[in-house]
Amino acid sequence: MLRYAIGRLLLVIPTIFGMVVLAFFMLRALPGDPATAILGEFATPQALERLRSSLRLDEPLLSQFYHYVTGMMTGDWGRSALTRKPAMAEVMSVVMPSMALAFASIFVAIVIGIPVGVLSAVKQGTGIDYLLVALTIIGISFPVFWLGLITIVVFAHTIPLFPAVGAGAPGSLLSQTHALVLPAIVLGSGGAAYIARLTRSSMLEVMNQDYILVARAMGISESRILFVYAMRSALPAILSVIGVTFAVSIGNAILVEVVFARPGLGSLIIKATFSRDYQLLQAGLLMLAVSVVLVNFVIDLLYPIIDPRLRR
Amino acid sequence: MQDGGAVPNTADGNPSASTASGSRLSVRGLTVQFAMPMGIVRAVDNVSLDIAQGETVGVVGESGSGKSVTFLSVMGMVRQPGRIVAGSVELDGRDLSQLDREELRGIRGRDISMVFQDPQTSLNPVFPIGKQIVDVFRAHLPISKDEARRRALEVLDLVHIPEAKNRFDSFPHEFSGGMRQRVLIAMALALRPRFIIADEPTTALDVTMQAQILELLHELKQEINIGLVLITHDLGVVARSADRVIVMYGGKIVEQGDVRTIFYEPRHPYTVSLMRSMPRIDMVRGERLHSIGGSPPSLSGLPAGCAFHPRCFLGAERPKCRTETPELHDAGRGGHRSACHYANELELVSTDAPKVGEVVARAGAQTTGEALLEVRDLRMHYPAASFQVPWNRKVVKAVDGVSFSVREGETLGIVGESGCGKSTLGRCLIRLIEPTSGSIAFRGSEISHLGVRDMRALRTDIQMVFQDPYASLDPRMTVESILREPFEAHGQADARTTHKIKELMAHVGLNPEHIERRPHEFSGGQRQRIGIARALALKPKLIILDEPVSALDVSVQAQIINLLKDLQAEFKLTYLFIAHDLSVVRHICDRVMVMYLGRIIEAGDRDTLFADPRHPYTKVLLSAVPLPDPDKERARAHVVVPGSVPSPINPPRGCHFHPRCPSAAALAGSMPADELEQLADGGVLPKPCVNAYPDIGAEADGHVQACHFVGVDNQNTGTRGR
Repeated sequence: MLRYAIGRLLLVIPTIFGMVVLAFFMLRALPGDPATAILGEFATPQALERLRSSLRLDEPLLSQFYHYVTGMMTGDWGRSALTRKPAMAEVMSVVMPSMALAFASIFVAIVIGIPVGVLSAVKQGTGIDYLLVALTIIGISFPVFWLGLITIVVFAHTIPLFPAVGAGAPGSLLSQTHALVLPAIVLGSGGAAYIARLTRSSMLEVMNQDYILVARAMGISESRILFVYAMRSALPAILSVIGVTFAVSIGNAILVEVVFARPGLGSLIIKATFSRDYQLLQAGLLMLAVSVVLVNFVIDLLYPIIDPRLRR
Repeated sequence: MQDGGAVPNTADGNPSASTASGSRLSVRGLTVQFAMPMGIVRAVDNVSLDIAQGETVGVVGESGSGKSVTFLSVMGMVRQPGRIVAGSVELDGRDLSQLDREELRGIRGRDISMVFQDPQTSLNPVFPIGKQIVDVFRAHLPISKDEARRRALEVLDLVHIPEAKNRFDSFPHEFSGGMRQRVLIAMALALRPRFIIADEPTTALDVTMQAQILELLHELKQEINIGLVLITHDLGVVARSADRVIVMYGGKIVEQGDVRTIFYEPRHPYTVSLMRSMPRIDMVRGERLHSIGGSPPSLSGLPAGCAFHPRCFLGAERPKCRTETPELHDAGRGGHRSACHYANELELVSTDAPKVGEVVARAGAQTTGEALLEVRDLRMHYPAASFQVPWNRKVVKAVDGVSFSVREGETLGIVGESGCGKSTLGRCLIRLIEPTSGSIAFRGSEISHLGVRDMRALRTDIQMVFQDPYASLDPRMTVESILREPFEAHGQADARTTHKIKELMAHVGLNPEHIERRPHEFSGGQRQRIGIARALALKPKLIILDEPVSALDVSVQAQIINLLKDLQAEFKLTYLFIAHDLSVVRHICDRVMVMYLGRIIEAGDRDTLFADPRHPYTKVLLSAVPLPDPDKERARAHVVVPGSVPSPINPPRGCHFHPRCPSAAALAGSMPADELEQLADGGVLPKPCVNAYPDIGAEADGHVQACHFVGVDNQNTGTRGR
């Protein structure tokens, strides 16, 4: 088990390094000149030149990459070209609301998705099943920004239950949680639909296994068969879709943050993109990537706990 | 623990046992229908039967006979789209079909429980076995976890799980198939039910495991007074264990009676045919097996009148058989009942019980022909895992130094339990997988190093037929395109190909007009015929048959075996016949090789080997196969070996069989201490068995074996009769 965990951890390192490389070179492939973007079209050539050299933009790409990587190793993520503050500090200042949103949405997705999937599997072939399957199709296919706007209109404007914008008052957990409800539901709905569909199919598969028949023949109660015997076996498949859902949510979180005007990585990344603020963008993208990798690492560790056959 | 437990069990030595008192499970007029897209299918049709506590009832029938559905209905476990439309199931007068779900759940596992076919899939893989047994207790009794655990350990001891305490928290995948079946039996026994329904409990197991499980069931029946229903297709298992027999066909009971009556005086032509079509390990029944024409009927299109009439040798299409459904009626003593209009005529028909030791001369067997295929020191070693550190590589020695030759015109059988390497060997020979080392010579020229193109040319001479007729044919292709493929692959397709395909179909007994049909429109036996036709297409010299009949029903199996024999004579074919069923091998093969853990441990002429097995493992194998003959089966001695086939990753050193060998253990008792080796588990065995792999010797009569002590008298090998 420990060996398995270490093996998984050793895989995390090259994955993150790969992301560093990708983030760096893909940003450099963007058209446009960062110096012009920062100083504006009317900047003097000398000012542009100075800025470029201070940002090392005049050096060869590989040299830039070298400085970027070595800086990272020593904790220096560079400074935001725009605000001149350390890039990592900028990212860290908005990371909390973003992570809160991402995890809240995964929570919503699990809490809605798994029961819906189980119910749908138990009622297979009935009207309830068809209705739930239809709902999941809607959940998967509706874009989050549209869903976001609709919920704002309905639950913030028509029935003013929740705030339409912002992340709540700083320091007040209650107000922050209150502000989190709508965005988390909007962001979590797609994941809930995916999880529900997968839960349904993997429960149906498990319920057809011989050991379920055996449990029935031994007089084990239906609810225990469903929630202990079948659920446990269906869980690994559900877990893997949760990992994927988290990655998708992180991407969609950018849209949701814009719709609900929440501070967070999303708005930071958009701002940085428009201003070609490479250092800030790199730090922000990496933060997203690392969170996805870590969540999946944790999920990898859960597999052998659930399924003993994976233990070595 | 049970009332009525005082009834003595008389099964021992007296198969016609019955129990007068105790609980009784009665099924009356049970009819079960399935609403399928093509219409209503009646899987069980007006079935009535009684099972008494303390007796073992064998329920025999081919696929679709309704035997499993009948007993799932007894448990109230028939699921949609199936429904019990008529009849009752009574346990001591209490009608189970009137109970609600919760009441029924209380009966299941507590009064009646079940053991299923496949121990690999019947235990929940994510929970420890102990917990699964504890759950059964806690589902029925208000007892604490500790108490449940204590009782679970008790039943694990009862089914002889060694060191049950230490293995309590082990997961199913950490047990062998035989051990898992023991765990499942322990679960079924946990609450000391009055009845246990065992649905093909040994079908998925190897013969030595089957012998262990049958022994266990027998022992348990003596210890605990249970009524055991043994659903099986294997008449040998019935002959060995059952007191009474129920034969089912097309959803109905066609005959029932006590085991000796059913075997020695059957009064239904289906029972007679079934017995005649079974090859037997103790004798050769002439060149051809009796075969029942056609295949088991599909329940959606049962023939009118007697469902068996289209396949019946007795009725001969008499009008009564075609129009009038026969009811069960008395056919003799002791509740012997048959559902045949002309049951009386069967008194004159022999059940073809051949005399012991009868050997029929084989016609056309050319065991002295030239060597067609010569294999020398063939090895197939797989890495045990995909990622391995270089200093600690583990390999699976699936085939480990095998040498033999196949002579032109003969049938060479390769037998062994699962994991012995027989299928890997077959695949190596036509290089479906590349052997690690060794030489394979076909007609004198080396083929183990041929390039892709030369090997392709050679494939016209060597062909293969696979086990599973469902998986080995592409469901989207028509028969014509399946059979055209070999011609096209070898550039031999031309204007006459369609004609050739039709000829091929006729040869294997398929209607050439069905050339446009797809595999799903054929029965299992017909599909295997397609597979055989495909192998025959390019007129090969040698066909490797990998378990070609093991997925088929008994009656269909006989047809395919006969077909293979006919084709061999007609086309001068040489067969390499890979199988685990020793009875089939005895029937069809001229010579036989026995494999254990990647090596050949004994090989010889069929009749010599079966009559005079020399290697202890061969003896064990032969003794483990139950004979479909109650008197003979119960009178003979059975060698039950402990444990299961070890993993080929780390085979035991010395002779691979030594940890399970009854001869070695017996010999150790009579040998001086300095010739014995102390084992880690405290036992002692003769030194050579533990330290050196015995070479397979050569003897004048071509009968070879690999045992250090074969010359030594090893009569007293722990053999015990029952």
